[in-house]
Amino acid sequence: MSSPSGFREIASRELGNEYSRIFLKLLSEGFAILRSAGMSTFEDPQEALDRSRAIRRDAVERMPELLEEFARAAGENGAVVLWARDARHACDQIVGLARERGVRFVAKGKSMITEEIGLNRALEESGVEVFETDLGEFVTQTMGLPPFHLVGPAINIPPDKIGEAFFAKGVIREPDSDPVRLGKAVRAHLREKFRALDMGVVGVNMAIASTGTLVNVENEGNIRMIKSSPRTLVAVMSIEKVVPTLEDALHLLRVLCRNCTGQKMSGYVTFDSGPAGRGEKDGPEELFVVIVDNKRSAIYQDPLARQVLRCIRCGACLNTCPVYARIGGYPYGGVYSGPMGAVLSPLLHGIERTSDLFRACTLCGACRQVCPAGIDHPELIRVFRQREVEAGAQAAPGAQGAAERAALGVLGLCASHPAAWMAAVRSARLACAVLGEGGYVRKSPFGLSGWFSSRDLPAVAARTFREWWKGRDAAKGGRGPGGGPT
Amino acid sequence: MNGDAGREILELLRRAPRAGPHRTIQGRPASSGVEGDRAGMVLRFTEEASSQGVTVHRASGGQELAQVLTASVRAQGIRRMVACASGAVSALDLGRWAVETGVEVVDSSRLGDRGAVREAAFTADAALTPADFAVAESGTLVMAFDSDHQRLLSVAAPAHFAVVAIDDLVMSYEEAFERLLRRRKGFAGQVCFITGPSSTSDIQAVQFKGMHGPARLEVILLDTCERKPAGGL
Amino acid sequence: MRTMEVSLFIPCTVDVLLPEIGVATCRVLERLGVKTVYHESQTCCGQVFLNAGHAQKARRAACRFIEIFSKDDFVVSPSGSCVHMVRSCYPDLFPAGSLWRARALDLAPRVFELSQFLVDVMGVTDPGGSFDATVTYHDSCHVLRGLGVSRQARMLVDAAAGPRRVEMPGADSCCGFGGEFSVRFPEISVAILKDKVQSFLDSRADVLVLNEPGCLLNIGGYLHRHHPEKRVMHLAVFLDEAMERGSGR
Repeated sequence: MSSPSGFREIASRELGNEYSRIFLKLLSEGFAILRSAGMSTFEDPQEALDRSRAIRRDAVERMPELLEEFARAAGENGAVVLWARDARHACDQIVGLARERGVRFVAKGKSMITEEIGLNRALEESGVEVFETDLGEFVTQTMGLPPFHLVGPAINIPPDKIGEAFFAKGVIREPDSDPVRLGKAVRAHLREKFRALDMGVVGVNMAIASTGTLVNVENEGNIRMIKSSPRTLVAVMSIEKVVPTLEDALHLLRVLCRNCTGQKMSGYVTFDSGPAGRGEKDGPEELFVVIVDNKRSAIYQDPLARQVLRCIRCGACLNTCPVYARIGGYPYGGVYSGPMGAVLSPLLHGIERTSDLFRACTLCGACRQVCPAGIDHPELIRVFRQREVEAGAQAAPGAQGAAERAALGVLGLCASHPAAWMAAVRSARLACAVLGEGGYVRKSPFGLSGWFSSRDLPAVAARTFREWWKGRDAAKGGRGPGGGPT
Repeated sequence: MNGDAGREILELLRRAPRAGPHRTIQGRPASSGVEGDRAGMVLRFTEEASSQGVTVHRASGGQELAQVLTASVRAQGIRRMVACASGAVSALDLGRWAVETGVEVVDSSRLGDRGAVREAAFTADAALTPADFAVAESGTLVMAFDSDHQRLLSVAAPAHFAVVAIDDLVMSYEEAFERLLRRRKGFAGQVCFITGPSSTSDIQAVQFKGMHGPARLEVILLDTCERKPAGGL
Repeated sequence: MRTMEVSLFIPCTVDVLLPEIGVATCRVLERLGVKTVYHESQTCCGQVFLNAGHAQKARRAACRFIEIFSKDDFVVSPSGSCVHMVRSCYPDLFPAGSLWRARALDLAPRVFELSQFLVDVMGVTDPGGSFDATVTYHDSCHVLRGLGVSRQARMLVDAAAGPRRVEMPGADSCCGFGGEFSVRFPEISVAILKDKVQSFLDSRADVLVLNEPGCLLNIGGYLHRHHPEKRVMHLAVFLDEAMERGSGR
């Protein structure tokens, strides 16, 4: 929904935020340990990964057929399937459901797609109050903050700040900063809502095509509450959530939980095939499944970009990303952060508006290595950069961008002409002789200030390898050229 | 109107160039643990569930089940319990147990409507329910809800006692679903996996139990040998 | 045994800024009885262009490279990321079914990173020599995750340093270089780099060995300014020094 702007400013601010840094370190180190311990409980971890990747690739390649199969099966189970072209279309339909039933409030389970389409705002604008019920989401909603992390959206927020916000909103009667007491206060606060709930909204982790079943994964029990207490349940899914069979879903669950939190299975997993059955006294009497496209069918047209639709939102790529681990989720400016955001947001919001997301990447490949869906993030990021260049967009604003383009231009010329290369080396050597000391350069007038803020660079060698080789060829048995300039 | 949107989206998707069938991996995933005899599965289930903070008991027959429950409700000071008496719980003489222990038991089969179920589930100190299966690979309970077994009981009450017949202890989720589908001739409504009590770590990564669901989960594996005639099938 | 002939692939950064790495690569191979050749027409593999999004320039560089090296049996380089570029990225620069793609695929399996060549091709796990300092090894991203090389380099370091090689925590995590990333996002780059340097300092090793010039410029550039007593060494230079000292262990 919101487009990522101000990446640099927010990243810079977050780099100086001690609280964020502490939790980022904990997240990246802690989750890495949990993940590897979790995955190692597979008899053959590589086989398990290969299998989940094959399932996701297959599911995405067969998406139209599977979606059709799912919609038919869900309909036969008694669910009402609603299709939505875009965010607006989805919100209108869900708001319509709430209004027709005259509900005053809805309770929601954590769901990225409803954040993407801006459902909370749409509901509130039409007078329906929205309660996020996942503890982390409740905190971010109360404080008006974007998610910091996929699994722990508020994990970085100091508890005294949470206490202040809860106190101001009447969730607690006296200020508090104890994480457990704050959590219990939210429990008490929301229990009354669950008990009186008429309509609930949840996302969907997987939609099983062959059986028309919706799968939700959670640990707190809020989604179970929402799927049990109200008469009306609305499940919102983007089109890529579909998987072929129950067996596929079960395997993906094993991988999803282990790869995300290291659990063999999350606390609660619910499989809903239609509304409550005959004679059931709780559970939804009516179940609506809203299937949202919101640009995905356009993404699907590109066989390379299509792979982003394989993502199962386990969050492993965030925890392993060296960039995310330093700056957290805020700079990514939306629902999707880390490598997941870097490959998805450019396709949702446009390459030209998201340059920093795919430029702020070292191409280290750690995300690809842990991805259970088989997404090649570095490949996609390279492709986005290429498309940006081809579109002639300004790669980086201002003088720095111009300097970089000029540098690449010169390098391009030199790379294809050895003579130009040698000439460039000679002029660079002269510059180094002026700027350098002891074989190293400590600053540069050529726009590389970023490098030199904390790093030196070796000066151009007195003798390049090429020159050494020539000399050696001339007088056999020559020794090395030595390090710096003489 | 809405059917149009669906057709439009599917039409767009179908128009995309595609690589064709992609499935390269066939067959069952490598099993997530030792194929167990019963003793092995009991051990594995107990280990896995315990690691998630679940207390696992074993009881042979209704009498022992009553004793286990009595000890637990006394230890936790439980005074009001909502109970679903179907499935494996039927081994327990609920009325007699209530009289003996003095626990106020609400039999969920007497709850007339959604309001009554809510009232009972949200005000009870504990819920007693059957589970259809126990899965050893992760210490998971599998429950299928129906007209006898209400969804809210095991999520709204602060403590949950789940009784599962030892014959229904299986190694994998796949096995649980296969048997569930055979037993129920397909499934409608909801099937739920429960692995440990409700928990969260969302504030400062401080973990605690009982966020929205029960803080306490006790599983009683019930030996049902007494229900079978000796030597019979 | 027939004398092996290796064509040296000396990346531009090594040629100009770190020639001692190229020389050491050449010397290590020659000490092991390999004949070396160097095509003076080589310039840049094009990795910097590809990563920056300039596919056309990368393609031109790739064509040049393929022309220059296509007749060699073995091409060996001290840069893991450049080898990764040639082995993994070149074929995808050209359309399926094209002649250039076929040529790229034909060349790819003959291009090796130094430790990969020594251990996997030559079967050398102990080139001889010893190194008298505490050493730790940094897994460069493109060496480890690109080429799948990690064990090979550690074996070679172990042969010279023996028990004085220690592991540092997070040896396989990125150092924050990322080419243009280090210049475009210096604050983030340096934040990553500081943690890498800290884990090196925590390991109490005197020398950090790696086989990627990009990481060497990054980590070395930071150490030179802030911890001049610490040393970062390319594996080729490390092996060359160890062999120079002889196996006096």
